[in-house]
Amino acid sequence: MATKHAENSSQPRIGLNRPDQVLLVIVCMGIGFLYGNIWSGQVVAEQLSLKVADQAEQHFHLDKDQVIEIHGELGLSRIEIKNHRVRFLSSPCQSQFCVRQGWVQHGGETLACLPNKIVLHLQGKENAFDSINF
Amino acid sequence: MSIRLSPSLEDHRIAKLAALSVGIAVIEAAIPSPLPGIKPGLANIIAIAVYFLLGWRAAAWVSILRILVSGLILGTFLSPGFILSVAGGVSSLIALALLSHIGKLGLSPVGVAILAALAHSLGQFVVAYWLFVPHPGLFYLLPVFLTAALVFGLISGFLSQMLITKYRVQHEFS
Amino acid sequence: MRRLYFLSCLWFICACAAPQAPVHKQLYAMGTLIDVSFYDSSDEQINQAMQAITDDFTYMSVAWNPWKAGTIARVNKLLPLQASFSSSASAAQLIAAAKPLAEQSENLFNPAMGQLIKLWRFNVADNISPPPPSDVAIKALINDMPTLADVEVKGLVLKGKHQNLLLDFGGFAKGYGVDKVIEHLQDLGVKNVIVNAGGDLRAIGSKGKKPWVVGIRHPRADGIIASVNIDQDESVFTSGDYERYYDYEDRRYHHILDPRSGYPAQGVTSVTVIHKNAATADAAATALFVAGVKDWHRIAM
Repeated sequence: MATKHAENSSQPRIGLNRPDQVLLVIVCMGIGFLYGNIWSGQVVAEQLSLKVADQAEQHFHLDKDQVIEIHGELGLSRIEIKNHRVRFLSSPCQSQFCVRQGWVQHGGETLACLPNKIVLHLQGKENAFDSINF
Repeated sequence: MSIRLSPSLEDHRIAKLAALSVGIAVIEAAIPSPLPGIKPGLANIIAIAVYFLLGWRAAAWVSILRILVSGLILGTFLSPGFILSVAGGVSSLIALALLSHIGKLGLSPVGVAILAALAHSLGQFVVAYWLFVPHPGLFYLLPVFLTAALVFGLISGFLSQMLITKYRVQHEFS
Repeated sequence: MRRLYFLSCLWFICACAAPQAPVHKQLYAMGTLIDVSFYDSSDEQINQAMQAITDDFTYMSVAWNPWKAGTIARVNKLLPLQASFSSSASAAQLIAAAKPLAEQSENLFNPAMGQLIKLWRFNVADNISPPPPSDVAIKALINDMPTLADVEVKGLVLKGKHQNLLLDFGGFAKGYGVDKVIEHLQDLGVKNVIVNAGGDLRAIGSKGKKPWVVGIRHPRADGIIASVNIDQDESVFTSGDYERYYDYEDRRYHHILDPRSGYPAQGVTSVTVIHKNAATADAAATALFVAGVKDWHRIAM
């Protein structure tokens, strides 16, 4: 009796019917898409652009952990890429402001050692910031 | 002189159901939420069941009464939290109205509850953004809110499905 | 068909048009890195603008630097003589613009205390070294400290009224310069741009329908503590004790000096000011840093 009722009814008593399943799939896809769109690229930068004085920019992917050694106007600066973050490991400048600034990780963030004329700029799919105040 | 209102059977029924969902809402308010802005919204079980059993108008009454009365009881009346719950309630009612308009698409209470919960979250989000926190950072939370809405919509959908089934069985045999 | 109905609804929620990216250009001037972000400007406009910015900042970095052979340096030679002389328009305008701000800040922002900066040797760029000056020398200076009120400006004619006058627009020239550059860019038809001079910036316009997003870095730790959305015209200036300092015998001496005590201002790590006008924001950040937690509210008025 009960089974017959369930068959006749457009809604099974407990559980998902076909339209429910379709809806669920679409909603999951929609939310997944939102996560992808809103959360990726913006928060974490993808690559590092490095510029020494007026020379052409060099680009490094943040996927690979490494220490970059680069000669600026004063001497050797060492830049560390680790876990998608970037920092000045050492620099020949007197103030050491660049080293003390620590890690950066957002698209649009900038680190610079002015005396040594080295500028690091993080770039993401869409940058979280257009400009940084410090 | 006094004006006599004669409440119909329908009115009594709505009042009872609204009282029930106020009870659920008040109990739920006592349970601490892991994340601000996210709560199960179990009172929607009643709203969805009413929507299926008595139609949109009744569901709207039950929801509006629930929001007003639980706001008064919890002392949140006209507070930001209250405004948000009005926004959520109204947008899920709009979603239900649209759904009625296009014939429910063959969705079961579970599907309807999911849609209502998503509409609720989305409505709250829009109002929160315009009125309280007009900051793009809020958008980072949107997928989180919607995920919570999906999960809780699914749960309350199943529960209202059970409620509806039970109600229908009772009426068949009584 | 009906399914299409809510499919399209979902699409509406998800659809975010891919935005056009801002163009970044950088240059070194005024002893710092100038980072310029353009939105919706033609390549030709950008080239023109960068040329203008380079010229302007290069001029300012000499003209307004009291320790180089520019127009302010000349003014500094003549002011202590306490006689009338005529200066360049650029110097007179700079002084005239700073005067009301110094007054409003009750001279906590005091561009006339160059002697004190010289005593601390904070004027020597990137060569700040201990030990700090003696107590006696500092006391002697602050007991008779000139202010901008001691500089009379009548058109291009200046007159000093104090023998210790030495102008240093450290907490102001950057902001004022950014304002001048923004004006220049507006004349060139640039509508949406951020000019960021070593961390202090002014933004005009927007990124199309989206506002400019400016991150504010934490003064001590890694990361961003706040972000500001700008879709009109706004400047963000920060004064912090971490920009230039040295440690001597377990004490930190930074470059923002309190004209009342003659020592680096105490109690505050950094002050960020948001104001339409970059010059005002710059002066206010300095003044509020010096005012400290106790007095900042009164000075901010």
